[in-house]
Amino acid sequence: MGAKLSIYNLGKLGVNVDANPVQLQDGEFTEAKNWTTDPSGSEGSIRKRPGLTAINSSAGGGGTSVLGAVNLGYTQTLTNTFYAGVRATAQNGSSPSATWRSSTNGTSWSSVTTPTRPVYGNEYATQWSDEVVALPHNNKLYYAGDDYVSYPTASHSAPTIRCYDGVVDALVGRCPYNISIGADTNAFMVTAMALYDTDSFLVACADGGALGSTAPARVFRFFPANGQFQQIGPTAAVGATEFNAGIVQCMTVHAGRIFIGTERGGSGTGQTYMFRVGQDTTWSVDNTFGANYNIHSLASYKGRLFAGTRSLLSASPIIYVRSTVGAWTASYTGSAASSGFSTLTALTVFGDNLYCLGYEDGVADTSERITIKKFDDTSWSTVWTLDEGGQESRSQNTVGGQGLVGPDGALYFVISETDAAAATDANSDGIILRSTNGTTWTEVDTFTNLRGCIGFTRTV
Amino acid sequence: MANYALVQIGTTLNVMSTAGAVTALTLPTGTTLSTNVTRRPRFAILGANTFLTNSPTRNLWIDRDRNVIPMNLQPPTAAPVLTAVAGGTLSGTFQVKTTFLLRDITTGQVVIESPFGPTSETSATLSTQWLRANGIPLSFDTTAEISNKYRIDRRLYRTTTGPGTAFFPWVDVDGNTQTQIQDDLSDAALDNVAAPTTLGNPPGTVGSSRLVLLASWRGRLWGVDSEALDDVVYTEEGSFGQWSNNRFTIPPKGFDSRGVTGFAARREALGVGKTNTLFQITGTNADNFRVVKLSENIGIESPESVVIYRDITWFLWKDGVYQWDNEGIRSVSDGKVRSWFTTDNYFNRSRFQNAFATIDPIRNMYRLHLANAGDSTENRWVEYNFVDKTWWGPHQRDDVTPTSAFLLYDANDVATPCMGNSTGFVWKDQSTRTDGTSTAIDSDLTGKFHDMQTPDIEKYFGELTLISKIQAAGTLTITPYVGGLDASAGTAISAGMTLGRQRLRRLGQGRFVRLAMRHNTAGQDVELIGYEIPFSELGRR
Repeated sequence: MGAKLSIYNLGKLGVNVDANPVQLQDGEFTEAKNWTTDPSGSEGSIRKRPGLTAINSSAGGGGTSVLGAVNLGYTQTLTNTFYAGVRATAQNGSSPSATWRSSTNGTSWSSVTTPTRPVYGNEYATQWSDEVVALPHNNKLYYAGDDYVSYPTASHSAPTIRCYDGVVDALVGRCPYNISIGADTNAFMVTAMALYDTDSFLVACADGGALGSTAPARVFRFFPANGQFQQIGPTAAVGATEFNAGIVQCMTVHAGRIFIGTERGGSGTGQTYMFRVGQDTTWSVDNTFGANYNIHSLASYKGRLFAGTRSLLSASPIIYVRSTVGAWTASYTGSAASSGFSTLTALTVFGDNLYCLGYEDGVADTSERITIKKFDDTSWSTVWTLDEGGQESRSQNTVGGQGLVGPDGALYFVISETDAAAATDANSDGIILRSTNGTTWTEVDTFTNLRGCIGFTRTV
Repeated sequence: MANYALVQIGTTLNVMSTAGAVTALTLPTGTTLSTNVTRRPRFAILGANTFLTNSPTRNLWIDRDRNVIPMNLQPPTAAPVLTAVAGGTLSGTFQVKTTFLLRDITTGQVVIESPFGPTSETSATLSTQWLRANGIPLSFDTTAEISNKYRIDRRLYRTTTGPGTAFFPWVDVDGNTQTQIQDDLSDAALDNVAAPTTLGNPPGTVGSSRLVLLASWRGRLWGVDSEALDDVVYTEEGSFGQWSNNRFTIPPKGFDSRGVTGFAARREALGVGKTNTLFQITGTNADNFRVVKLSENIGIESPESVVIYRDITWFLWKDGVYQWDNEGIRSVSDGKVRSWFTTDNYFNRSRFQNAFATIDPIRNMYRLHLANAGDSTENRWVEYNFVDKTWWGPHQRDDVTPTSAFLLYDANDVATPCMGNSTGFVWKDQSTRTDGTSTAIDSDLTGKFHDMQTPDIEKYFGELTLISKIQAAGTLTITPYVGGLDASAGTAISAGMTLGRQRLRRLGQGRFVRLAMRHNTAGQDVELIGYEIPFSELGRR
């Protein structure tokens, strides 16, 4: 009698080399070299295994054995986008519509209107902060917003901290009242921001109630995760002022302490204060500098603290250094000013060196008053002057700015507009400088109303 | 660059993009990678950080920006010298000790803190003075410093006056340059939190030892000490720099020279295999971690054979492949392919320690690479379908020799099983049935001796009908074996793969019929759906 063997389960039983030939099931194999199953549309069948193709087009490691690999847990690298703040009111020419200049490669910049406009010091008080206040933190751009009504204008509101994550621009914090001044007296403005740790950064504000050089000031740890301001140190008693009535112009963390530098206006004597979070209960005066020296920049470099100053009139511009035993001495002394201010600011550690953006009023050649200086732990040298940029004709009255070590491994300085008085002087546009080695500098952007701050976002 | 992988190729550590761009990373000065078979690279990921041990001369940390940095800092070797300096407000006697810090200067975060250096001599008695620390030690681990990213600082801890026995954070010295600092911080102003007790370095901090195995579990790194191979060491939670004295000895201590042979990090347990036993570590923190023996006479033969997927672990032991899941530990090879692992007919069993495996989540396969019998490289691989519970192979490629296997993710985040080979390439599956650009996949399929349930009855086997997926081209060679269990190969039959159904010649007379199929043409696919063989029983001789 005839019959038929039908095998349609070729992909269901696989190899069996353990059973004897009679015990094997129909559909089992004793060998399936380079045969396999394919559940994607061929379930139940048996198919040649897929081929293998090299992922890398050229051999790695000189053509030696691949010994192991691990896939990294994150799927995309981050895209850097730089932002340099633009002031609101026209310094020169017409008021810009742009709120920031932006670049994804650090070399080509264009105007954007998101994030919203940052605030800057001169907008509300000419002798206070010169720079727009911004800070990159945890790959987001935080900045002091211009979306509030500054004290003492009627219906004043609290200065804001805004966050731009590369997609959304949001208000994330409002400076709290200083109750020693008044339960409903808003702070005047944010004057400085600085890195502290991964959870928080430092924010300093000038308080309302007593304008100008007598205004009180406070320093906070700001926690962007929940918008919390945690005041560092006590609030002064009613009628008193913190920091000897100085404005907190700059902050940094050095030797486990928070150091701040103050600006006390005009011929005031700037000071440095220090505080240990979790240990200290009051701010300690670290040093009081001479008359005519206000502290505009602080940086920790090779175990010492450096302070850049704004100096007035005949005072020689100085960068001070604090030794590890707490003694301040001059690290750099420039030419004495003739009639205006000199500013040595934006101290930034890049690689193995310390850099500074300076305007020295005492330099005879007016085209060479704005410079970038480098300290290599031995001596200061000038690595860039404005006239190298072919802009010798620029008015050079003041300079404010910020240094930034970008995630692209380059150092940036943003020079704010240089001549507030030259209302129509296009040559006083702000400048963005970029260097990958600290030696060769490129003016990657010039723009009207550039005000000196820079930050970045990193997005997937 | 999109999604990427770290790959050790020879003595280089490379980053590889999904597009195949391979870029060698710069190792810390003085650090080299070994290619010795006993020094296979062991990777683990903790957060955004990746770690590499065993193959390097020191443990390495690769950060998100692909900086390659020593995982730990050697401790200070000298103590500061304390002096009293005029001025200041501090009185009493003190002691100081130092650690080295690696600080992320972009965030201010301390990412590594070394163990403590020696404690200073007790200071002279201060009387309203500054306490000055001279000769603050400098770190020799300058290779950990990455320009504009990581900086070595020093942290000084101080006692209260007395000197007290407890040390408290006193002052940080930024950078690795200054050797002197003074401070008059009062006892009351010292940090209320005493010096950490969890600082400690793992084996592999210097080249005299290493972490031979490495795993990430419960937010910690776990390793095996090369100098005490029965010992598992682990970090504090979330920290790769603090290993303290966290250590388990996995019994029996000194049983063999291999010690712990594999980790299997499951969701709620860390499997710890030895050559003859399997343990698990359970618990949630150092206070309640405990070691539990799961089995005796089942262990992990090769660390690279361990694969965990969906909380199921597969691993190779001496007599086969085992599966460990919530239902226990069981062999998945017994009854099917035990002979692969328990005889010398198929694989070189002396090289089971070198086996490596990965998972193929597309085809639901555990893919295990083994050395062919008599060979000394892992030039074969077998597959276990963990859904159908079937085995396939042994597979082979004829162009190059696989040297490693791992799972990578492509540009679309699709998991892709890969194998590395001996010529510096990483391979992944492709739908074209060709290895490389031109090497044919030599496919052999040998079925059972069909006896039609009557092995004692002589039969006549008629025309073979083959049902297959219609291909553009190709011919399958079918060799029938008709007769007894010792039947010789019959005349080969060519079956075209373009037809879908093909009636082939009659197979002949015998008690059994067996088909062997082969296809060996590059670029051609073959998919067999089934076959039919009509037969008539002729009777019993």
